[in-house]
Amino acid sequence: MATILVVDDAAFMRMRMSKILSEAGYDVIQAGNGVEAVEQYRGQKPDAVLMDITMPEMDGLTALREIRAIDPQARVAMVTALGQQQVVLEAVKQGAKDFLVKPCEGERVLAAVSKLCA
Amino acid sequence: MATLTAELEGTLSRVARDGAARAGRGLTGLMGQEIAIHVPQVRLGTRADACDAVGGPETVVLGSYLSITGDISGHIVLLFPVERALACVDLMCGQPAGTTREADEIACSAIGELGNIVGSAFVNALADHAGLALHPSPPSILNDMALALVETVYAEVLSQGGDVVMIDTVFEDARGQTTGLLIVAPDPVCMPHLRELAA
Repeated sequence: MATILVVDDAAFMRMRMSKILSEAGYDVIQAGNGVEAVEQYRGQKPDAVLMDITMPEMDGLTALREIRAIDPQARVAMVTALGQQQVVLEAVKQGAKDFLVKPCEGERVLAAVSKLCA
Repeated sequence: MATLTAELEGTLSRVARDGAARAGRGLTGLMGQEIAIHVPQVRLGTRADACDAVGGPETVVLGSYLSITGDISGHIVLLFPVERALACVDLMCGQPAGTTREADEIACSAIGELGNIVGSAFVNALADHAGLALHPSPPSILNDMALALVETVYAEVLSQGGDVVMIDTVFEDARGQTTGLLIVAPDPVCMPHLRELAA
């Protein structure tokens, strides 16, 4: 089964996303900010990434750029709050494949990951 | 305790009910289980009223803070006495009541996310109702004595004699319910604008 990297500075959201994905059979690794996400991506080469945008130390857009520099084929979906449309558009320009709006329903998370891994 | 004009109370009650319904749908979708949110009372309150509503000024409370920017600026705080916050964490994590015993990283994060969902839903409901562009900030976690938090967060608003809107907020699932206090504090300069919208 595919390995998914869940990136969010909110521990509860990492836990919730990981539960949804692991119950569907995915292997899940986690990162609490953009710096950790880039390190995890470089070391583990996950099949897909769910990336929060607003995070301390390194935000999601910067992490997306760095991950795409490591792997131009990286499959990343951005996880956004309402009102971040401009950031989403920028992320899509930078190679994000999809986006999810918080609070994410389980079915929407699984649909996005399935699409990323297809 | 101060009182709302009938028009403003009606407007804020409608906005609060709409926000609660949106937040309930958001939480239900996130958790994969039915979670309802009710807002039985909307009222204006002083700093002392806000403290009393969460158990008194020296009660240790856990909650989250969002700022509002846009056509109206202000602050939103969701507060729980700690034991009620931990009950809410169990509700959000789908765990038996009493499982969460301390405000650890997961508990604080869950309360932050709860405040984010509820606060953002209220802001979005207000924006839609009033035709305003409003933007909630990401949540910050609050964990301290009630008086310290209320003093700190609302120092500017209260020093200018501004009003604080207090909304009792009840979270309910099939196993039971717990109550928090949602405090909405428009920057004082914005209150007349809100009253105009309600008129």
